[in-house]
Parts: sequence; structure tokens; C-alpha cells
Amino acid sequence: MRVARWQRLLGGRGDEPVREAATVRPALWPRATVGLAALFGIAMLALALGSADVPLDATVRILASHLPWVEWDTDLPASWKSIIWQVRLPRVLLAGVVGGTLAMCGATYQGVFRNPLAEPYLIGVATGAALGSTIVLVSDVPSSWHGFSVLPLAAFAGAISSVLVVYAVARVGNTVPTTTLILAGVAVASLTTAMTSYLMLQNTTNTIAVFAVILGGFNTATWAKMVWALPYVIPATLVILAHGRVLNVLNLDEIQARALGVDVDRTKLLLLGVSSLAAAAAVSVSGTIGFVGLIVPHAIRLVWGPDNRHLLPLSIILGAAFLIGADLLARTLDQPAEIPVGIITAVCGVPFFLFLLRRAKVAYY
Amino acid sequence: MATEISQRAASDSDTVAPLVEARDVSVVYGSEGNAVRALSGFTGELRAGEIVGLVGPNGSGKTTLVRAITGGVPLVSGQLRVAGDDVSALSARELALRVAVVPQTPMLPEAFRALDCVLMGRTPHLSLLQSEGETDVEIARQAMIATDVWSFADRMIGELSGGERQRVVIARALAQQSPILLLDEPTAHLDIGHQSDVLEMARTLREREGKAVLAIVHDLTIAAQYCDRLIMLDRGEIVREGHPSHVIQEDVLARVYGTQVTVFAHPKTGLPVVAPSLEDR
Repeated sequence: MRVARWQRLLGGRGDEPVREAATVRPALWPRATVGLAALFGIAMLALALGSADVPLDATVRILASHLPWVEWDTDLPASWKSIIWQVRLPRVLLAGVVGGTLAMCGATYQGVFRNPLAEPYLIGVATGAALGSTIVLVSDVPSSWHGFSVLPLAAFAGAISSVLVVYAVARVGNTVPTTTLILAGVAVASLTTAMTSYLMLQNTTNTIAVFAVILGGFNTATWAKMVWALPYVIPATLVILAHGRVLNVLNLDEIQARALGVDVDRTKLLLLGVSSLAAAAAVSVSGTIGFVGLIVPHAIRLVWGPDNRHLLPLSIILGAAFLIGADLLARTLDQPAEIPVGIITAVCGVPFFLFLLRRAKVAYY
Repeated sequence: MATEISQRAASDSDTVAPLVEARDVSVVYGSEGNAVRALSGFTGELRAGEIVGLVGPNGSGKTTLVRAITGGVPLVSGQLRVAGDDVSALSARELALRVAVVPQTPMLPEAFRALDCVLMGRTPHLSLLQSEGETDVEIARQAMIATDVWSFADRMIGELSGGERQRVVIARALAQQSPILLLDEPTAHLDIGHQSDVLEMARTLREREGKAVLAIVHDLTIAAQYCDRLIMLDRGEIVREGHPSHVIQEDVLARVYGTQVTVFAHPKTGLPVVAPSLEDR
């Protein structure tokens, strides 16, 4: 019987019946459809609800009327039209772009560092980016150049400096252990946050503005901010999505990944670079919003498994839905005041973070 | 490309250059001052269709040699060619098409299915945007049947025992379809049944595909039964090499391992079997 077993190699079949395993990967589209439906539903709610509620059907009609040859909103008040189109839509879209970006970057950092707790905020990337853009804002450097905002670039400089410091400090041999990563990340995040706060307080008497950067928010969202962020976010997203399968291989240790033909150093550098660029662009339009990059990818892993080819696109979709929802809560829970959205994500995120820390060894990563 | 190399290797193994060719290879760990010479002037070769066993005490340079062949450690001197090309000139992907490695204690992502892990062996055959196709799945399936892990292809790595994981990693190396197979203690976590399965499989691969296999084996008896040739290392240098009965001799083992053993011939094969001397009893 033993002999029969190895003779099955290369087409020969032995006498033991072999249970057929499911050889096909589950398809992405049913999962993506569920995600997109959630995203669409939450986005419509976020457009309709607010200090002035607009009925859902009117919201749909106002949006549809921006399509060519559609005129469904002639009988609706002009104030509704401008609330939906000028105020809420850019805000919802920006929250979606930032949420999708942060979740995607979180999933990417977790893969590259092979560490379940890596996340733009916790490893200092987001706070470094905030420091970078704050330096531009409070100094005399022009913040745009030929209509091209340099804020995301300044944020990127801050982000990449932070990630390099954290990586260099936290690295032990070929791995980045959870404890050292989180310790180094928290230290760098505290330092950069302190510097950002100091710079802001030196240059403004308005502490609200300081909190807006440190806790993040979308109350100043405009169409222009969307346009700033997209030239950085879109190329980074394409690069990251293209690396889904390779990121799976990086889940092995570096020696194995190299033996399987992955140029480990170059791939890591590329992925860290583009994800820091995307995270920095997100931070430069929204301030530092924590825990999105932690909660969303892990929730997806718990439900749908760790394959990065699913994890990355689903993180984008559900990260967008999550942050649009969080922003909706931020502006409706305590009307007419607004809670910074970072407080909402922290309230949801910290318990989840503690839960993950508690069971970091469990096999779903 | 890999099949091309192995076909070339299989068809005229005696005339073409060896698949692995080391000339005076030295590897040094650590910086100046406390440098350790892990491999010192190693010269040897591995030809298509042979199984070479690498034996020797702990720290004798066996794993270092395997790492050097996979481009994992820089050489301080000497030349190392893999399928005709210098190791340092090959990209990670080109090297992975030629050499598959089964590491000693590989870290595996626990939430991936066994099949997903084996499919990772197809990495060097796929371009960046390519996903594994039906052919890749079929190759993985054959590899998993060969290593007796197909029946739990759907289970998560985290649910598997050490020996089952070891066989998943061996299946991954088979799915890589490279002409050279490096095994670092392939039988360490395996029961005696699966130990002989793995080594019989190595022999099958050698015969059917002309693969060249280099295996680090601690168990000298097992090494002697399954390998065509043994290389014994001690402190980074070759002590003795050749046919198992030439290498596995009581005086050699006493010198290298510092312990007295009894070597006798296997009743069926005539190959050396090593047992403790137990002189005190």
C-alpha cells in the first residue's frame, strides 16, 4: 500500500480513494457584490441624512439629474440640490476614498510586515503624514503648484520618514515582531503628533483646527480635495492590487519567498512606498483617522479568509463603506455639533484592537 | 523554461555540465574580528539524475551550502554555478525556476489552505498579474497526491500536524517543477513510514524526471540507504565523499562525531547501517 502511494506520482493512481478537494478558489464577484451593495446603501443614507434631512427618493432624483438628458429634479427646492451636490456628495465621496485607501494600506502593511497589527495610524505613517502637511500649511511654502497640490507630497515625505524609522527600529533579523513594531510605531506617532500640535498651536489661535488634523474629519470636504488626492491614490491602488498574489507569498518568511522567485527587498520597498504615498494623500485631505486600516481588513479576514487577491479589493470597498458610515455618525449623533470622525473610528477600533492583541496567535491571519 | 532545463538535463546527463557546480566556495558569517568560516573551499558538483546526501555534525556547513546554492548568502571566494550560470547573476525568479528548496522549519501562514500553499510553488512560473490556472492546479494536485496530502487539500495549515506541514512544503517544492531539489532535513518531522515515502519519492523523481537532489540528512542509516553518493562535512570542509560504504565507516564517524558507533551491512542492500556501540553494556 505504501508503494502504491508514491507511485501515484505523475499521473499514476493508487488504490486508495482520494477525496476530491475544492480545487477552485471562491469567486471574488459575489463577495464584491455584497460589499458594493453595502457601500451603495450606506452612501445613499449618508447623502440623505444630516442637519437637513432630504427624502431618499429626492436624493436619488437629484443625483440622477446630473446624468445627461435626465431632468427629474425640477420640482425640488434649490437648497436640497445644493446640499446634496455641493455639500454632502463631495464629503461622502472623500470619506469613501480615504476609507478605502486607509483600509487597503492597512492590509498591505500587514502583509509586508507579516504582522497583524500593522496599520497606517499605529505604525506612525498617518501621524508622520500629518506632520509633513502641517509643516507646509504653517510655513510660507506654496501649497499648490500649477494647480497640483504639493500637500500630499509633503505628507508623503513625513509618512515615509516615519515608516523607515519604525521599520529600522522594530526589525529583528528578518522579521518585524509585533511588540517592537507597536512600541516603535506608538513612540514615533506620539512624537510626530506632539510636533504637529506644537506647530499648529504656534501658528493659530484656533485649537479646533488642530483637533481637526489630529482627530481627522471631513467637514471641510470639497470637490477640490478629491481632485488633490486621486492622482496619488489611483496609481498606488493599481500597483497594490496587482501584487495580491505576491503578497500571499510574502506571508511566508523571506527565505521561502525568495526561494519561490520573489524579489523580496524590491517588492517590499515598492509596496511600502506606494502604500505610504496613498496613505499620505488620504491624510493630507482628512487628517489622521485611526483604526480603519486595522478593523476593516481583519473583519474581512475573519469572514472571508486571508487571500490578498480578495482581501485588497474588498478592503477598498468596505473601508469606504465603513468610513462613510463613521462620518455619518460623526455629523448626526450630536447635532448640530460634529464629533471628529477619528473619535468614532477609535471608539469602534480600540476594543477591536485589544481583542486582536489578545488573540494575535489565533489562525485567521 | 524549467521543463526545458530538466529535459535537457535528463536527456544527456553525462555530457552536459553538472546542474550545480561549486569551485572553492567559501562563506564567512559575521564581521571581521568575530568572523566564522562556515564553508571553506568547498568543491563539488551535483549532476542530473543523482541523489547526493549531505551529512555531518551540527554546524558543519550543510545548511550554509544549501543557502549558498539558493543565493541566500554571499560567497567570500569561489564560484558557484547553477544549471550553467553563476548564482549571483541569476534573478530570484530565474533561480526559483532551477532550484526548489524544502527548508528545515518553514514558517507557513496558518489561515491559508494546504492547496493554496502548494500553489505558491507555481510563483516563478506566473507573471505578476497572472493567477494560477487549471494546469497549475493540476500540477499542485499531482504533487499533493505524491506526498499524500491531497486528502486534506482544503484544510487550513493551522490545523495540520508538523509532519503534514512538512509534506505540504515538499509538495510545494515539487509543484515548482525545477530540475534541482534541495532538501534540508526533509524527514525531520516525519514518522518512519513517511520518511521512506519522501526518500522513495526523491528516487522516483530522479528516475522519471532526471532531477538532481541534494538532501541534508542527519540519520546516517537513512542517508546511506537512499543516496547515491554522500558528502560528509566537518567544520566547513569535506571530510570524505563518495559511495555510502566509503563514507560511513566507523573510524570516520568516530573522528567527525566524536563518538563510537558500530557500522554493519544492511542484510538486503549491503549498504552501511549505523548503530550505537553500547560498549559499556
